[in-house]
Amino acid sequence: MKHAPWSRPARVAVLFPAAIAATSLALSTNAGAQQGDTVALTKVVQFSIPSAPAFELIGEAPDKITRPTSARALAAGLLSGITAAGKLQQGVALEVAPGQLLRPHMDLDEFQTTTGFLLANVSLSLGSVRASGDTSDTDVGFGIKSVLLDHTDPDGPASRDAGRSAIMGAMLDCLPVDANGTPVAIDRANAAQIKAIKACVSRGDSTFRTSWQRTHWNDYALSLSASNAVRLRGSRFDRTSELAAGVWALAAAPLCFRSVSDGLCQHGQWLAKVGYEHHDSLGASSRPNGVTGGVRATLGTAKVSVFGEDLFERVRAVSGSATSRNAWSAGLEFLAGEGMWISTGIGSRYDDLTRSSRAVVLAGLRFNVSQKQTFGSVVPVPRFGPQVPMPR
Amino acid sequence: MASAHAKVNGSLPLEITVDFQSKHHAGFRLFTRDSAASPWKFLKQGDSDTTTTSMPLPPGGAIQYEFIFFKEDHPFAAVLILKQNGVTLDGGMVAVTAPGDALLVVDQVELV
Repeated sequence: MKHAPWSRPARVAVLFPAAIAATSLALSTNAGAQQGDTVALTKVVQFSIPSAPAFELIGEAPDKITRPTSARALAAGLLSGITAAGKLQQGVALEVAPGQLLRPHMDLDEFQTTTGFLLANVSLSLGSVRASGDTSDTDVGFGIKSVLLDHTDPDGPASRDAGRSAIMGAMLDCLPVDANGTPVAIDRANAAQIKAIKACVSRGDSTFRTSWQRTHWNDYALSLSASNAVRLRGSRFDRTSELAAGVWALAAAPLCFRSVSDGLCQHGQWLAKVGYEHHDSLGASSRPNGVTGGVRATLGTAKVSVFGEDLFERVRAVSGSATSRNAWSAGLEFLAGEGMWISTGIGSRYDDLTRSSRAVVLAGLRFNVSQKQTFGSVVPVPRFGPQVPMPR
Repeated sequence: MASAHAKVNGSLPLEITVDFQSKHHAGFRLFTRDSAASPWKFLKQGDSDTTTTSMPLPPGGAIQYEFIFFKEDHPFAAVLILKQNGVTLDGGMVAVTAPGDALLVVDQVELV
């Protein structure tokens, strides 16, 4: 039986894990040497956009963030953060979506325009925390977050034509016709008939969404966020000092740079993150003062998961001297039998992921054994359902 | 089940316009009948583009409109407009809205 030659994208998808595995074998002896540097870098470069950018530069975001949905609620939220003496309270956590205030009843047609999509996907945040070392000073963060592009969204501009076509087809299938296919009027007094049609329409809608998300879970997406932080001396608005500023971008793309409904290309994704932060010497921040970023490629099927990533950092010290570092990690994991996943790899990310599993060293490579998949947090596997990497 | 009533001149053609305020993921079907005793006749179906069709219908007749909407998170609205000689009939402007999970709206306009 002669097999058809693989398509170029499929070859890419196969060669990718092979290259990772080969790299793992060739460079395994350097893994330990890398470890010292990469421990910090894997924590610095996260392949996600901050959930509340206002807090990115001033501390941990609180569990509870107030999200007003009307101008009145926003004003109330802002006023409640200011004391009678005109000082800012510590512990303010606000996030507002301008689209909800300006266009609270945006319809799907408007949402699927570029302007409507951008408006609906912008959020502004404000946070305040106690400044480290001084209970009377307050650090304030302002943040903005936006999804500029998201082809994974079944309601977004990218799905407009496909959604309309699919759903109009479903509609025709749901409405009553006679034996010749001629439409028959719905009996509006027949509650059972109307209920059945509604259920059919709802199924058609769900079918389209599920199909779109399954095929496009790894599709192109781009998100931006930025933050600025200041310190208020004595929590007063007229005594501010600049603390820090930062901007971050996260992009996603299909492994083979096009969306497909099956094959290996459907199971992989590229993620790229880049960020720039500038910290004033006033803020004793442990965060990098410069550019950080990374690229990650993943491939995940029901039986094999592979990832490879390269992280970089170029920071500038207070003295003005610049330092750079680079760290890569890679891992290969496969289902060896029922309830037994074996993984091998190198780099700090791989060490983090397999920390709790049992390890065996063979031929200079460390093999980890686990009852469950351990790469799940970095390698999305579509079979578990749609995973949209870009938060709204 | 109350229907809207539109005052019609039986000797003039009736212009029936479906105007979707939200343009995507929605569809409609129209049926007409000449009297309460007549069967419904299929007139037209389409998606969410604005569409107009013209036909004579006598007083005592009726129009049944069926609107389907698909997205639960977004409000939908459409208007059914009945005109003769370019003039909107008394009672000939019917707003059709589908908040939340309505998905399907079936109603009638009776011609008097």
